[in-house]
Amino acid sequence: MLAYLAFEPYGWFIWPCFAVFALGVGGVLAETLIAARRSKRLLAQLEAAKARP
Amino acid sequence: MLRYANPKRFLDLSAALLPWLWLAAAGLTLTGLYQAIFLVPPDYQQGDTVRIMYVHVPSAWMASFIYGFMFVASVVGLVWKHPLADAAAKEAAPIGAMFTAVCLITGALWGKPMWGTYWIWDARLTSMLVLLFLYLGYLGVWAAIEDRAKAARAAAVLCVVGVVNIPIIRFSVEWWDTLHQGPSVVRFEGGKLAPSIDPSMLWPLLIVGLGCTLLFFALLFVRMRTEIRRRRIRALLAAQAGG
Amino acid sequence: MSAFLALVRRDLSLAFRVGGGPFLGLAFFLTVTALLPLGVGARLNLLGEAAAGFLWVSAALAALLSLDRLFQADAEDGSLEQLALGDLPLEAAVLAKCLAHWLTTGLPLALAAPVLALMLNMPAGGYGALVLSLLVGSPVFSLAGAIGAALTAGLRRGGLLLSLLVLPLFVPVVIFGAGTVTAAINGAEGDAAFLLLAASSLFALVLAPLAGAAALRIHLS
Repeated sequence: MLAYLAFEPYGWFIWPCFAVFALGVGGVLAETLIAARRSKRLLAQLEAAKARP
Repeated sequence: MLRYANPKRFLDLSAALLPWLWLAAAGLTLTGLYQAIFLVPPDYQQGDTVRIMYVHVPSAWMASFIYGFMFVASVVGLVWKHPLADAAAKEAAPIGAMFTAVCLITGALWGKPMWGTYWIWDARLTSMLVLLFLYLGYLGVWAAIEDRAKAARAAAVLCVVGVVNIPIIRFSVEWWDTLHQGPSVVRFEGGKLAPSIDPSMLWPLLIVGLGCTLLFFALLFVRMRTEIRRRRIRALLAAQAGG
Repeated sequence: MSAFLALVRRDLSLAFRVGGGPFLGLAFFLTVTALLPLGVGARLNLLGEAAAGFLWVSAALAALLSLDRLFQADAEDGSLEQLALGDLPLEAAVLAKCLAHWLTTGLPLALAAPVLALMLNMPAGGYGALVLSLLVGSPVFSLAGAIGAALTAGLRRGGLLLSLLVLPLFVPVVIFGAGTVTAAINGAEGDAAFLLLAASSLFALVLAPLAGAAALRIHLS
């Protein structure tokens, strides 16, 4: 199995490609979710402050 | 159609759609990539490096598709002054820039075993590089102009100018590099679409491509929802500061 | 028409009074040309091969340096609002400013280019094509540049952003322009490259005033 996944002699080029793809998509995904959570929290705070006179 | 595109409706609709979108996007992308790694046979010419195609080509598709999407959103934003369209164009740009960068890096990594060098100035890599500059310029306009409404319109004008220029840039770059190889995924033969690669190799590619498209819309919807919340936050903060 | 010419004349005299007019651009052109042999080594055949492309690239850079002031000064002192309120359509005003910009940057560079090409050992046969291609092609630098300058007009530090916005638009002109010269040097029929260059120039002439005026209106609103 490991021998198959090594993709000799090209594994050195193949796996970084998949890693770059995963990092790119993962990076945007993480940024998106973190920004979403942060905005949700801030909005909830502000609306609570507004409800409290 | 625009009557139905108010932010409230978008929030309801996207909330209902998002779980399914995420599920389909993750399922398709992972299935396609699994097939690319385990099931696709090595190419008789390129050997195992053909597996790079399954992340490189979908990234290239997404890079072009997302710029086209931004163009449509920009035109809608310019003509009908619809805030949701502005948000869509703005939030699509970072995703498109990411796919463009991934396409360039994987292209370079594919180039080393194939051409013997990481970077060759061939037509498609060069066009892709110019596309990355267009994306960065678009993001730069949003970052530089503080007034959101003005930034939206300036970015939209830039996007339209970019789309008008992309065919000219593509043509000029291809003219400059007349030795480039033709597009090899689908070839027109006798007016019929004839896949030039084996179906067993084409299917995983289409699956990853579809997965990435759905992934784009899932990311876009979440980002647009965030943008709508940010707008409300700004309004609330302004009201606080005013009162 | 008189308003158009008055605007061109005003921008020209401003350029002469403030920036030394065409001489600053020429000095830049000359300096960059001096840097090339110092950077890559004084091998004459290497320089000669690169000369056509290099001169086109430095023409693009020279245009870029002056572009960020195209609308900036007018935006700061309020004369942009005056222009927008005047009888002259904003599109024509943009065109007038492009013309003035080209007269003080593109035109002198095109005329000075043969001297610099000589210093870079450009092969004979390319000189006529170099001047002609720069005359026809360099207006695109002013025109496409005006779109970027209009988009960044209200910004305090728009210069770097401007180059990022504008350089992709310069790609076809540099390719066709340098292609025209190279074809002429190689003795090939350079018609295709030259016609494509002329077509890009005409296209920019139509598109740039429209897009530039649209971008200026955003900042004026």
